Amino acid sequence: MPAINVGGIEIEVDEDGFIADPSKWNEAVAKALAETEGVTELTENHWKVVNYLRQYYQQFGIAPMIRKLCKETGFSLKEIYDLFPSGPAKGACKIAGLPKPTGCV
Amino acid sequence: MALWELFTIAILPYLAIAVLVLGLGYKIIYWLKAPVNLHWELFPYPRTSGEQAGELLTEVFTLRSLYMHNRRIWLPSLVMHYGIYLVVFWLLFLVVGLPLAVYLGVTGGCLVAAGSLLLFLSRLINPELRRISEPVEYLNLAFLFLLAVAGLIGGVFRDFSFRTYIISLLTLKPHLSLPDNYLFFLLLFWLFMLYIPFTRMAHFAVKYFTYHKVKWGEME
Amino acid sequence: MRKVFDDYRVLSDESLKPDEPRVEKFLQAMKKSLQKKDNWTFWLPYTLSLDTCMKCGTCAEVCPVYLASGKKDIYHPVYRSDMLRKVYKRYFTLPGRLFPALVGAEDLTEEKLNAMAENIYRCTICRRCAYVCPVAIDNGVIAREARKIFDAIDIAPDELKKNGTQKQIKFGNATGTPANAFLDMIEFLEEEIEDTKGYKVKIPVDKEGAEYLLMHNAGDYLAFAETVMGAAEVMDAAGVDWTLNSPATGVNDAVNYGVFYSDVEFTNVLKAHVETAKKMGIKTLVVGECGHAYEALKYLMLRLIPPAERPFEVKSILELEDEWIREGRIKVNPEKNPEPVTYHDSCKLGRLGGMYEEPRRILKACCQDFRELTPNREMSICCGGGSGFAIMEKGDFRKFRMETYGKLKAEQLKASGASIIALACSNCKGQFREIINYYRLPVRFAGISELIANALVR
Repeated sequence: MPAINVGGIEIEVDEDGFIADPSKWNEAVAKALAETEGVTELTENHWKVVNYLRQYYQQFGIAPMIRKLCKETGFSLKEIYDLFPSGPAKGACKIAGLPKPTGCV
Repeated sequence: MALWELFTIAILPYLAIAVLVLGLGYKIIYWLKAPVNLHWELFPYPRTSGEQAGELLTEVFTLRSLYMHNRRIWLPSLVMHYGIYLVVFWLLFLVVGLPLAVYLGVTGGCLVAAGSLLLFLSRLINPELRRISEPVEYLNLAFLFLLAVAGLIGGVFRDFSFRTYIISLLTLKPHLSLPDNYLFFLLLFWLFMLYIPFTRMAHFAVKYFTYHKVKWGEME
Repeated sequence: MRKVFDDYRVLSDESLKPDEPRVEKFLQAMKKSLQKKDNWTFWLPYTLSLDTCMKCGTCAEVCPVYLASGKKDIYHPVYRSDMLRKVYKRYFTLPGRLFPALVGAEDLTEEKLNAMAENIYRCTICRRCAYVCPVAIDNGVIAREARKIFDAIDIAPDELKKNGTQKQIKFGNATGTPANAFLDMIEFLEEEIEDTKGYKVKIPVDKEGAEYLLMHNAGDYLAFAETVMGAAEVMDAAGVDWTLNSPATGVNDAVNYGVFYSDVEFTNVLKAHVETAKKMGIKTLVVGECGHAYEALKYLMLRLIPPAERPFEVKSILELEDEWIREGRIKVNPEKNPEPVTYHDSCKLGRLGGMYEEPRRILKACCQDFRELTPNREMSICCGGGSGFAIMEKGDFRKFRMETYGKLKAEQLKASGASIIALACSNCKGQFREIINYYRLPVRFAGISELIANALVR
């Protein structure tokens, strides 16, 4: 299985680059994952999205509706794409350490 | 008379017709016995038998799909197919005894020769076609070309008295006296009949299934 | 991931196992696929298509992938079909055994197997080629049968199998949404409708015996909520007895990825759909805006499940919406959608489903400026989201989708001058979302139900 290096520790990711074991996630991992997505700096806005995703995931076991994510964070979908170029499901969820969303999303 | 001549004139025809009929019959029954597949129609499609016959005849006589989407090979293909239709009618007219037959035969032969040669060259020259062509594609076209040329040069197509031979075959009393220059044509002709069931040239029969059973389906 | 065919990879190494010997297993599975008793579902079109290709190349002239790739050999539809056809001839036909070089029969090797496994996932099975083939040969059915053979030896894209059909059977939907999350979503959607439209709409959930069970593609809730909201508004405005269902009732996701790669998986999911509808005692199962789900439930189901075992009707939401607008059951005002709108025919709804008129009548009634894409209807160009491609991202696959199908679609969309592209299929929505981003088009996509809801006069 492929892996990314976070401060000398190997974190396993799946073939889509999503973290294999979500419990291994921490802020340093988020930064390393962000780099794989071409996001060089995690700003306060990034964290707002990431934190909401994690909170929702911990409560319900899946990623939230994109519409809800926008509403709760106050960002438009376009702004989310500006923050996470591959979008909320593939980009933001990856950095937030969620498993890759499945189904037709 | 050499043995192979006797074989070509009097034995091969029956063998070839038997293989053609049995081979095609086997194929048709094989497909007819196919389980009804899940719905896989493509819309829109003709619903009544009148509409279906119309569409089928349009495709057979104009090769519309090629005209619409693959114009480069439409004309040579049309020429070759019309040639084949005419040669079939040549045979029918001969059997019936209409002297018009020789015109159909000669025109048909010319069209088959021209069409198959052009298609052969298209396959060879057009890189897109060349890449998807196997040797057998060239073989089939060359076979048709040779057959047509042999018929034209040997003089079979323009000889109404060739009818006597056909009738003699039909009455199971094969006439053995035939001009030598017909022999090569006949050999090729019967071998071709023998060959058809084993090739994709049986597509005229297969089309019934691909169109009626699959593309146009049968809605309940 | 290492290169096995082109610059992309759909199958993970874990699934493809590119270095293990699989040829023997493949040939055994293929042998079975050619037996009509073992594989009756598409046996006729499958064997006809293997046997009778005239190599005229007409298919290539209309193939979106081949044309958009700049006519790369490896994307020629016949090249793809021949990967399987050469094996068929070599191992399963007499001429191929006797004269392999003459008829183009070839031994299967592990490398060829790898390449074939990938290449059959470069075609969305849009069947545009089958529509124009003079002999009605179907490269699509060959690709699908090849996928079935691969699936039989356990090689299938994770998105479709592990995280698709199998997840759907386990959780009731391929998104893995549990019932409590689903109910939270519904509550949020009701609030959203009230916030944006200013009126309350009650969204019924799990109501047994309802006349209409509306089953969306579960991905719509997460990614295309506007379609779900629009549909709820339309149902509410029509005043019909309807319900959605939560995963607590069984399957609440209309998708059936088995359509794309496996009859076994397909049948499992289909049976779960039927079971759920029966358990809920509903009269009509309404398929939301999802192309392949419509194909599965409207057509593919008919000869697979006897009529007595499926005591309900199946309709597309588009059929109902069209009917209700025409009979005046819901009133719409096209001035509420003033922007130029165009419509993309989803392959599954159009060429494979015959639904050309309904969406057009709806859009003409609900939008002031409706325009056609050219070409359209039976010659519509697949968007590239079909076969589940819209959800495949690994191995740089998004780039493949964008640079082939997506490129043609972007050009078509630009030429139409429309600022909204109306879509009736989730895979199309997922694909157009990326196309619009990738090509920076000044366009947004919208579900049909969303546009109707915008135009509703209450």
